[in-house]
Amino acid sequence: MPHARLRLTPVCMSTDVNNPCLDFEQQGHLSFYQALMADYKPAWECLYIRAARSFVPYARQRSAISKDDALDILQEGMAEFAINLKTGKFVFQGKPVAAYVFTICRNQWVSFLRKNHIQKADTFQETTDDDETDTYSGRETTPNSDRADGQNGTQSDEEPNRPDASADSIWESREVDWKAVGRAFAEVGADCQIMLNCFYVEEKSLGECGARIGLQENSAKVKRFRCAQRLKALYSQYKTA
Amino acid sequence: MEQSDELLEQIGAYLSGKLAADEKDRFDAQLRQDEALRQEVALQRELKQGLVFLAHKERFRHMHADLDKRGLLAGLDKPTEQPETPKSQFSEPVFVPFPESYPVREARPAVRFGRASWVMAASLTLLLGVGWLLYLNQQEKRELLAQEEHLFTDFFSTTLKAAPSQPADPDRVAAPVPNSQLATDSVRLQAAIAGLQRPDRQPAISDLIALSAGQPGHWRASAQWYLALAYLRNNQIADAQALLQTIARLNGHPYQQEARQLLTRLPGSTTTH
Repeated sequence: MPHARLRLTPVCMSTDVNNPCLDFEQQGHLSFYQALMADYKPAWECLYIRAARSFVPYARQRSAISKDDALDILQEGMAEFAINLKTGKFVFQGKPVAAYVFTICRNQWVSFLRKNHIQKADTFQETTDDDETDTYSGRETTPNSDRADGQNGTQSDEEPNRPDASADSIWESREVDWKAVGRAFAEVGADCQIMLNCFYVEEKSLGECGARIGLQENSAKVKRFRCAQRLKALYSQYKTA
Repeated sequence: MEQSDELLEQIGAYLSGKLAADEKDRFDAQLRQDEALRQEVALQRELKQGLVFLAHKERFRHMHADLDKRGLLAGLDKPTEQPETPKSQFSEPVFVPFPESYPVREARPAVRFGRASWVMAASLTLLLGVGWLLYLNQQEKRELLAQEEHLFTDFFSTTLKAAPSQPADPDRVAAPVPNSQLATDSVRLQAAIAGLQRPDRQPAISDLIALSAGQPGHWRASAQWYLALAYLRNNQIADAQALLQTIARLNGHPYQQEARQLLTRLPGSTTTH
């Protein structure tokens, strides 16, 4: 996003720095999407602000959910979106990206309420988590930030694409229990955490990952394998628990 | 199926999309025939996605703390039907069409501006003036905070300067500081520096204060520098400035140059060295 960068550079002390969305207000959804694809930090910050301002009041108004839980769901929704964007599961269709993130968050919020047996307020007569009309009609009543993208609050064709077999036809898609992954990861030890993060998340070479914990490539190879085996065993244990 | 690092590497490359086209085709063919391999790849994919998900979540958690500190997430506390989003910041104006059937009122009779009206107008003007001043004041505060944050980011580093190796001093009379103490200090300092990146910085600041008053040496000096940065980030400009001036005066202090540079950039600083 060279245009956006040019605007930001000379005004580092102005209020523009405080408001990452200003850069995108005059730009279309496509520019915003491209900025996200380019991993342009202000675009991500703007998306976070927009999603927070629409989702958090929405969830808190309609359920007895704490702010911390709402923020947790929001951050999970943003994380899911970031993955969908990177893996190509999110396909830009000319609609506001924030609306898509909102829908992800809303679906996760409904799951959260069900799991924790929390009653949803009937204000908007929402009954199912896949009732898109309800989702967007609910948001029509709140002039939230999604509309900064220019939407009228009635779009319903950006239902988050769930991982499906068509995306990866080789094997059946399995639900990732990321909480079990987190629990397993927390128990593998500090060196393994560095090594596994380097390998799985950052996708760096064996040499680079090994160097981070002071290992030569041969020793790093053994270490990485053992760490991965340990993570796998713990994950399998916690996933079924 | 035999587990090996080679297989792990191959699956990793496959899941990252790093395999060449022909390698990927071969691997796909293998997957179709080998149920165990399919299961292993599926499991590795789950682990990878789970870890990537957690990394992203952590990233957004930090982003939240940062945006919150910059005052961009105000108003999320209240579950209101209409979140108080400043439209000028985040929303485009919504144009509501003027309904054709809107009842047009009759023109109001002309208002006579008596003395009371002028008093009211003056009060309103005064009120608006005070409001504007308060707004400007807030704006200045926000800009100051942004400036401090910017300075902090410029000068803060999670990597400590290494302690200089000290040659044996034949004239030394006192016993050297035990190595274990130095090691503990360096570990505490590293932990405190990491703590400065968390939303609640107070525990880290307390640690830095303790370290700054500890055994003389490299780690105490480094702790002083990081304490000054912590003060800066905590909007305690006077404290930061006083500490930086001390550091800037101390020849041989590992962060003397940085302290001097930072002093010249402090908001409203008139310090000379």
